[in-house]
Amino acid sequence: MMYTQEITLLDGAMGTMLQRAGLRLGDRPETLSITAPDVVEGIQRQYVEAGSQMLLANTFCANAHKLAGTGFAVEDVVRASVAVAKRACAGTGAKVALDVGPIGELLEPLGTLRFEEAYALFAQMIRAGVQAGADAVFFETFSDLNELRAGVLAAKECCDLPVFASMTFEQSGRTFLGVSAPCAAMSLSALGVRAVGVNCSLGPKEVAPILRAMREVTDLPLILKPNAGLPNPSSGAYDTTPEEFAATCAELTDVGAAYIGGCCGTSPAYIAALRGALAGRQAVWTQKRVHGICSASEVCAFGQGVRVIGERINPTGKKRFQQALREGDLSYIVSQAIEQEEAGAQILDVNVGLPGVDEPEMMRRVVTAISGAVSLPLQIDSSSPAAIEAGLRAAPGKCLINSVNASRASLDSVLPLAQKYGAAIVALTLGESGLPATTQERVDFAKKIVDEAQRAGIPREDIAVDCLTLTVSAQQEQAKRTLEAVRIVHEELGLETVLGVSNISFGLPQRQLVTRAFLTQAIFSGLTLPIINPNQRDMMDAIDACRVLSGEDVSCAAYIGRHAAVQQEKKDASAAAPAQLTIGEAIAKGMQAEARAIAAEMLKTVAPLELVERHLIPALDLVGERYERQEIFLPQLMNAASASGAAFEEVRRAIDQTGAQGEGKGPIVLATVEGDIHDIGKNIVRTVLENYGFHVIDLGRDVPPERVVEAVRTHSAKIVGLSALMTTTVPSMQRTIEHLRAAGLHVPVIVGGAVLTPDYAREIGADYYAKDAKQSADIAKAILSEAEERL
Amino acid sequence: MQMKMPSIPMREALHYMGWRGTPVEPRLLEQIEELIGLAEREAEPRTALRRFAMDGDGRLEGTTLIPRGEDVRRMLSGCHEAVLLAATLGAASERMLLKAQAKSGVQAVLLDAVLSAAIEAVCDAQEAALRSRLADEGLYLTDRFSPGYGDMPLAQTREICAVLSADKTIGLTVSQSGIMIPRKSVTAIMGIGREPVSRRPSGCAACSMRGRCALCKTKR
Repeated sequence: MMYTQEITLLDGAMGTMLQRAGLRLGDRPETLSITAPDVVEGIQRQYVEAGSQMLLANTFCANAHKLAGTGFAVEDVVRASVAVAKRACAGTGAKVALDVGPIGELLEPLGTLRFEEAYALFAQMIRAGVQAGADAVFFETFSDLNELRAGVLAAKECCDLPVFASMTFEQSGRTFLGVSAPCAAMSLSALGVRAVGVNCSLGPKEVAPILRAMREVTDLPLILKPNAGLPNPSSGAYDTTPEEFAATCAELTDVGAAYIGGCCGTSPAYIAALRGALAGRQAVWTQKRVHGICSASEVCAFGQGVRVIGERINPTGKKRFQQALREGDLSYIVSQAIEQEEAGAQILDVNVGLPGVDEPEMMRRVVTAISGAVSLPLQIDSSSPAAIEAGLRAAPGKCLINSVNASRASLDSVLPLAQKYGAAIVALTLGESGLPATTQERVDFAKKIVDEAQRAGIPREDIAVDCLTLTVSAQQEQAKRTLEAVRIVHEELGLETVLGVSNISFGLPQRQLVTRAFLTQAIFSGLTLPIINPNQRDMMDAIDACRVLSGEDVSCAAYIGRHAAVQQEKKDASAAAPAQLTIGEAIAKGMQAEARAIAAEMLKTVAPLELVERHLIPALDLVGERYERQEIFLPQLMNAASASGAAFEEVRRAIDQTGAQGEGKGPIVLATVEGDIHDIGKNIVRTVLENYGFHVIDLGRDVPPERVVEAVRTHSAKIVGLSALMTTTVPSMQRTIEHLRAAGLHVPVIVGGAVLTPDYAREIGADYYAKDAKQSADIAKAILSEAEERL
Repeated sequence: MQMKMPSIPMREALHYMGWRGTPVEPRLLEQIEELIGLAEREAEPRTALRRFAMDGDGRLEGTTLIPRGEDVRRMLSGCHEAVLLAATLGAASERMLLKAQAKSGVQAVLLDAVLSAAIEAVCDAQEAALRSRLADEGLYLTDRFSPGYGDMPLAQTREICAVLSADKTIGLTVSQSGIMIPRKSVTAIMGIGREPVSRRPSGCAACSMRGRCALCKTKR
């Protein structure tokens, strides 16, 4: 299919022109719309005269954070800027767009700005823009996909104006934050913008491949607003003439560049040249070739073979995971995500539903945290529409929703979310009548959901059908029906297919044998999106083999790459000889595996508590003393602590087996305070405390005071440890202590951090100052043993 | 501007871990070497460097910036120009740290120190290149001085970033609480003189944390 569209000529640089007119670096150019409106209008009039059909108002950084300290309000700057632009194009029919640039701070998880804060800052600008009479909202120069998503959502929820979304890339084809061009185009198209594209970055020649990469994944017209070439490193001057610039841009109308203008270094002369070069041209492009889902950095294309969905982010039947959810221990959950990515998962299922846990809020936090550490697209898995929406908002990229079924309630609550956020869906083949018994029922449910979804505006290619795996030991005949339905849905309906594979073997011995056989049969039948545990090597091996047999793995290259070395590894592993060590030596040398093995061996003859009191604690104390005497340094202390931690795990296991209370001492709530992301010190303290046998509830970094209060209450914490690195964040530490006291919680507070001193600690109301992790452990021991004595 | 990652000296990485010359087991050294390799491959150093004339008030001409504090003013006295430097290891370095943290506390401590050594190496390389360019012009360069050193207010980090448009040019942002993100970033000012300038020791001797910091070299 071919698309055509008339070209809209945009304007050129504003900053470059204002600097030529004498703007000082460090000043906010947007305030000139109020203080020197004639200068701004003069520049914009030149653009209109050169041929611009859409001016971007002088509002790029007119957000409340960037304007702070200038003495001007967002509403005033936006109103003035839009008015100036309107005057500049009076009588010409040219339009005025509200120009919206980045806030200038990084969002979570890398930064501290919350998604909803960014949303609110954009919403304020957009409402002001609508009031001022802007004709469109134009986002540009973004390098963080989620920041831009917050803006686009704000625009869509606050107004009906057309929304344009453009990002800035480096020559590598990625933004500063690692966002790839296809991911940007796929995600923003999903959100329903008018056009997507590229501005700033580079010259038109260098932008061309980036625009072409976008073309692969979107049917929308593209925005092209490059710089005037590349800057000369010594002079700062740009290297492309208006004519060269215009000629290269004109060629890109063939990939669908329909909104064309200039960024840094361009001037009215460039726009005039564009008008000449674009005369008589239309934007023309063909339909996208790739569909699927994506994160901010990776596209997972559908229709090109088997794509593995990792199932491990899910509390069902997993005690450790449940504990992590209850305690808000995101680093454990993130570690599960990393493990699956390294094992070869291509999509991660995220399910955080657990009684007693605020599921939407937890979904938001988990999705945000995962997106900082892994680059895989996500499948948002919940039966709660509120949790699904929270996940879809937070996830950078285009997600898969797991799932919508054929019941009225499900269709009515989930399909609008999928449409709004542009998510793909898993269509689960069950309905009001319950589980399907036959192949045909499965297919009928699938058809019903597909019909309803398409009517709700969800493209057919964004639907994957789950034909439902039932347990073969309970309903033996159903396995064949599932497989048959998978075949029909894949071959006859031409859709992607999902199955939760491991359900099949529930209740049977040696489950993996049955699960693996089912997996290979299902893939042969047309399963494309198996949900499995990618950490099970033999399941991934089976998929490697299936890809060879289906021809997906061309020339068996991936298979050979992965499996040629296996024989050798096995031999090496068997050669390791056990060392003759005492547990104290293993801990002192930081040898985790050995410490664990020796502890397990000793527990056959020594009582668990005796092992702790007579061996582990003395070994750790010795290490602590050597650290204080500076005979060893921090990594060695931590390695020793981790080794003893491994031994402690064996002790806990032994205690669990005897049925006695296995809880550690404490609990101790730890947090790096609000506004601070330097969590390395806090994490060191956590490692050391845990390995002294304390139960630590780690709230992470940038933690608001309210969350500390809530955690102390919920878990009846005995001690709170707070960390802050910067002089600018110590006040936030003080605020946290005040919150605790105001809530009537007189739990002892230990503080630490580079700029703190014992005096300073007292001043902000802390009970103890700890200079390092070792001292934190000493103080915690003293506090808790004193408390015990009082009992 | 994107640049190639200079090699990261093991000794500096050890220094940031609080090492004081005691024996280190080979296994730990190997672990650190691996992380140095990772950082050299995956960090994305970018720098912004710009030269300004200084007017009589000490303002960098054409900007809003006047460096504040006795220490930096003393360093810049006798200079007719100043250079602003902003450098960062990029969002990639933040992701590496998040990942290391989820894997193990030790890994995170080691990587944090390796990346601290890395950003210093990046700044050192930029400074050395600039110094030799200036020498060709017959000019002299002071050491680099960062907000937070001596009595130069930390808040000037934000001003330096604004003048260099560091968010737009190299992806370096300053949070509401004044923290540079990515964390492994530096902003600094250097003076240029026509006569040899006092190269005023940077680092520990000029630091407001002197004597209180675990890494302080002046205690050795």
